[in-house]
Amino acid sequence: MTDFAVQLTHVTKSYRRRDALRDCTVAIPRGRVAAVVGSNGAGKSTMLRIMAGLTSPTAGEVAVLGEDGPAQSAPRLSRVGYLDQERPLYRGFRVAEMLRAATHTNQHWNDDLAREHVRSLGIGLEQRIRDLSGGQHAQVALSICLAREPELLILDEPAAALDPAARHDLLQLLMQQVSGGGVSVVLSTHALDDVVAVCDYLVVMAHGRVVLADDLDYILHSHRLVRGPANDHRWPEGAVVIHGQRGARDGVVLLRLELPVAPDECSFEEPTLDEIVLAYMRQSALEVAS
Amino acid sequence: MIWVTWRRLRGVLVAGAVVVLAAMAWALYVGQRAQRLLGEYQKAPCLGGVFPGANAPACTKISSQYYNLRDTQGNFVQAVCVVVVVIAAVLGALAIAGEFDRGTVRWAWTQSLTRRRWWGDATVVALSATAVLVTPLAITMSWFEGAVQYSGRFDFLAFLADGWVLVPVAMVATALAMVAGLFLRRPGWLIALCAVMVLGGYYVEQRSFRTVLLSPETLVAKAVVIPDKSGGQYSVTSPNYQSDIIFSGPRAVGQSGIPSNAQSVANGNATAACQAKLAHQLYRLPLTGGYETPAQMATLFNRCDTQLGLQYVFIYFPLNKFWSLQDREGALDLALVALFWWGGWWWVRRSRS
Repeated sequence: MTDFAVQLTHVTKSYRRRDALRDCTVAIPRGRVAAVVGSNGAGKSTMLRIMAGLTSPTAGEVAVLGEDGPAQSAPRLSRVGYLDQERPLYRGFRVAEMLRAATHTNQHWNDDLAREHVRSLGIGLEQRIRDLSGGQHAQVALSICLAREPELLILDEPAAALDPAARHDLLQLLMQQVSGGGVSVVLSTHALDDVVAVCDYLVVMAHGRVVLADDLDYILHSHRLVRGPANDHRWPEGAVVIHGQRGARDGVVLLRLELPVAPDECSFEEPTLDEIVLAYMRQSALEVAS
Repeated sequence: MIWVTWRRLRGVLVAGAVVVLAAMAWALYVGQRAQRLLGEYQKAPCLGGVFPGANAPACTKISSQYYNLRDTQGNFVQAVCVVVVVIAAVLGALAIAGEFDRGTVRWAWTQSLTRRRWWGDATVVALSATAVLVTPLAITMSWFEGAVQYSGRFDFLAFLADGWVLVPVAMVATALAMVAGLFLRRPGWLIALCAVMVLGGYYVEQRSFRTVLLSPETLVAKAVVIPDKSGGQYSVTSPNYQSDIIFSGPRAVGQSGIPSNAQSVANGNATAACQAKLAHQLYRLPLTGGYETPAQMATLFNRCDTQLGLQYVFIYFPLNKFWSLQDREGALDLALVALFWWGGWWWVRRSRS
């Protein structure tokens, strides 16, 4: 259990009229940068909030950093940094006051690190939070998260709504921090380019369920696209059809193969991450519809 | 989290302090002016009246100045009470509901402190701020009411503004806004709702629960004739005019407590019928009513009460019970504050989301 940064076992989260998460089981190893991807409403934010201890599952078990006790205990909270999708900060505070607020509310706090991050981004400590641009706001929020020096960073769409430059700066800041080692990261995103750039573990969610969770490299290498009519190729032995149809004239099918891939299977086309994620999401939509 | 909450509420505290200082300044100005006018009116040559003579116009002027000043202060006291409750509700609402409304609760709840600590720190700051803000105003208003004497001390808002009960009532508004803010997470609506609930609740408490908090006194009234040059004045013995009269009317001899409405109506009707009948028998007055002399009125009043087994009673709080009532109402309000605080703490402790 202690090998995992986060372990969710048959987790369900129900609200009054709908299930936000359905029987989700996923185990993210420590030291990884894991991306949670999926369409809007797939349950990504709910899953991250459960991991952060902000909300509790209706059913199932959650273990974070090997602890499966109360999610809201101070020792556990001090080990987890969470950046909400809306990046809530006190808008009337100055940046320096926001850092001071974090000093007062955290057991571990690296004030030098926080100030250095903020200064390096050209953000004045006397600026009010409400006067910051979207990118600066996100950077300050992330700086506060990082200065807590958590063992697990949970980031809900950290780069959403940022321009390319701000996005680049934010991801760079994140990677600098993570490269030191020892920190596990779980982030949700819609940008698959970011996933390829910074992540090494992938969780794909659709309709409240985890439809794929594995090492990113394994995922990329274990899937193949088969194009063309049905009689062109036979499925390799052990291949699982993820999504797609082949007709008499044309078609595209995504297969998952067992590694190592046999030489004759290498002739199949290697899909992009977009194609893999889309195939899983579409297949889930078909299953839900049926 | 104490510093964070203090910093979040700082703007409201400053604005509230400005309002409180303005109210205190007005109360001090008007109170001193009223005291000066009253002092002039009560000393020679006016001696609290307007006597024929050369000084009559001056005494009339002082008298009318004092009474005009006094009679306009009811609105000021009402405004102070409402504003204090609103400021208190704003502090409570922003401390808790403000966090939910702005989403910052998701920041606060994911720092290294428990939700109980978050609740405890935020509520302690909001309640302390309310107490610190309202206490000097309560002291000033208490002096002001003594100086201006614009109404009886037991009257609805006069009682609230007099003494120290304004502080716990304001704290109830803060505590209610805090605990309700856990569920109704829109500060604007919450503030309005809490202000109405606290003032309404206080009104109900005054009208219905005062006798539960403290036993009132009972005075059995007798009709008397006060002799004068014109043959006497009819009067009924009654408590001091500054008392808080809860009930006055005929009540069965031996009965204790306040009669029900039905009993009061029945007793009143029986007394009126008896007096009309007796007036006809004794004084040959028409049954439909007639003019009795003061002595006849007193006789009818007292004989009918005896005949019907009734006695005319005043159930009331005398002026010397003012501070006892203040203490008990204040204690009740502080108990409510504790209950609301505990309710919020309990909810936060068991909250899962």
